[in-house]
Amino acid sequence: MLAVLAVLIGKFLRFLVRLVRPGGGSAFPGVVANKVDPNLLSNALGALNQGLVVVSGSAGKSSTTGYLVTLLEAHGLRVFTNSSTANIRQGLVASVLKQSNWRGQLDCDIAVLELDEGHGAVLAGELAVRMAILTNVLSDQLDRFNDPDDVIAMLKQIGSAAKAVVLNVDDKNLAQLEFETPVFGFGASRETVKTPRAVYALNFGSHPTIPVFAQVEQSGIVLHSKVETRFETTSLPEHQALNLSAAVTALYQLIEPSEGIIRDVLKELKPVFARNEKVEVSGVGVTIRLVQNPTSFQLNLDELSADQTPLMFMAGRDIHDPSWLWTVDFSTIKKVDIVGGFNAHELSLRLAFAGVEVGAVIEDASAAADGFLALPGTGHTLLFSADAMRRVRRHWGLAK
Amino acid sequence: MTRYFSFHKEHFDNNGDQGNLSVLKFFLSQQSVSFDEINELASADFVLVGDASRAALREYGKELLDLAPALQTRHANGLPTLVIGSSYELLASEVDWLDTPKRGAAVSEFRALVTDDSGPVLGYRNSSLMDLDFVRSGNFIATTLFGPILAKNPKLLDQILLACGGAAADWPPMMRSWVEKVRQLNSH
Repeated sequence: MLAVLAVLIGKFLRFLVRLVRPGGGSAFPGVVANKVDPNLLSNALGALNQGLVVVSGSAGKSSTTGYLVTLLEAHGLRVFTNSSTANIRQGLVASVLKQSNWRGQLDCDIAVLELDEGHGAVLAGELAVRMAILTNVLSDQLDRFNDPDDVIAMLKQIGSAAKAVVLNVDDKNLAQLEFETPVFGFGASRETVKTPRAVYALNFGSHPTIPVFAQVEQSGIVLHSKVETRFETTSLPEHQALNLSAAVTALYQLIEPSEGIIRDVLKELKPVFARNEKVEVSGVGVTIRLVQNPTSFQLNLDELSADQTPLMFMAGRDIHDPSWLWTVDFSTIKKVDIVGGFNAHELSLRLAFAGVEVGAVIEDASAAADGFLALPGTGHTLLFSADAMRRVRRHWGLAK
Repeated sequence: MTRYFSFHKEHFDNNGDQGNLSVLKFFLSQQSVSFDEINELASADFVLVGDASRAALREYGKELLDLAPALQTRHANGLPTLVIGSSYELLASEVDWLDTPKRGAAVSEFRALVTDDSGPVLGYRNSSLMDLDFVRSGNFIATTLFGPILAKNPKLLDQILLACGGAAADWPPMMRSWVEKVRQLNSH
């Protein structure tokens, strides 16, 4: 009865919010529904016959979640999942409201949810978790988490709540964690890792060896199972292959997959939105890249080619402490045509002190987005933080 | 020629503290003053000990404490030094020449501190220290404000530049306007 009331109120609020803010997400209905029935989320997920998979870590959550969902759906499973902007409790409840019936029941077989590290540590203890996928620990959101040590402890909590753990064996911070449940590893061969700046959080301890189930190699993933199997992954940027190897590792532990189906999926697989995504806005082709921490900013910078101009960088309100922008090496960039977002001025300062020419600074995200489209050139490329991404996508009508 | 020493700069840059060196280098270079790195603290004109993760402090904390006598000399003589964030907290808890701050709940926020010599000093802090966010002895500064505080505090920057053998900064107008905007947005 409580669930029906919570869903009724939540769905009504969701309808109202979307009238006011078309295409814009809001966790408000989730907040209210959760107040009315605090068990709405756990009951909805607990009823799924194939259980709950959670994905957490500093980076790669959305991509790993997206790839696993695609692979499971290709095998005929009905999957409940959440968007990257809904990876805390209220957002998850809002996702249930969106997809459930009036009794709060999901017409799905399995849930694959990305969880914020902090909220996930609490949530995992309340939910029946079949599998936890732990991607990595980076020096990320220090204004919130204070120190990577705290993130490691949170991921340990998430993994400990699961019946099986899939983790990145390349990240010493994760490889050192001890779990009582089975652990399945994924990683990249040393020959493949061309981007040395993709550094995990500093750790001077030993690096325990964990067997690797799926390993990223040149243009492919190799499964070290009874028989060695290779899948080509040419449709994805190199740094996304690690996220895919996490998804494939999980897939093999969750179901008995078909190699043929996996090969078909991988031929067409594209990165999740805003990860080197190509979009067209008002007749202008734009490559958009989400940057969320020093490592992802660096990886995206390192992948840029000289013909990717005009260039716009945006640092939004989600960057509470923009100090980390000063840890990024901008030496490969000569000019940024527009710097935008709430923290545009600090980012501009950082760029200027690094010897990078700044064309214009436009704090307002919509105005910056419009100004960017008006610039001449054929290689429009935009690197933005999550808040700036949401604002620009909404302004450009890309938000669903 | 101005020589600087930065303690394990690759690991003591948790929040962009090494950016302070970029700022000094930028303006000293404009003034034709060379700004070169050296490997020993004793003969440095400017010393930076940045904020570090707990992992880095576990590894290098003892080495940092071994430098305490040399840092104490710089403190006593007011020589240009920046000791930032967790490094400051470690030193303050272990040496008697820095006052021991009171501890409480961690507070993560922009803070504009009132200082006698440099006016309001703005920066981001994430610390459980309840007081003594900015301790100064001449040009020796120990602070919870991490990141590139010299970039955001022109008056403090000028004082350090002068102490490093340079002159007050001649800001390009656009950059100065960005600094003012950063200060305006984050002053509470």
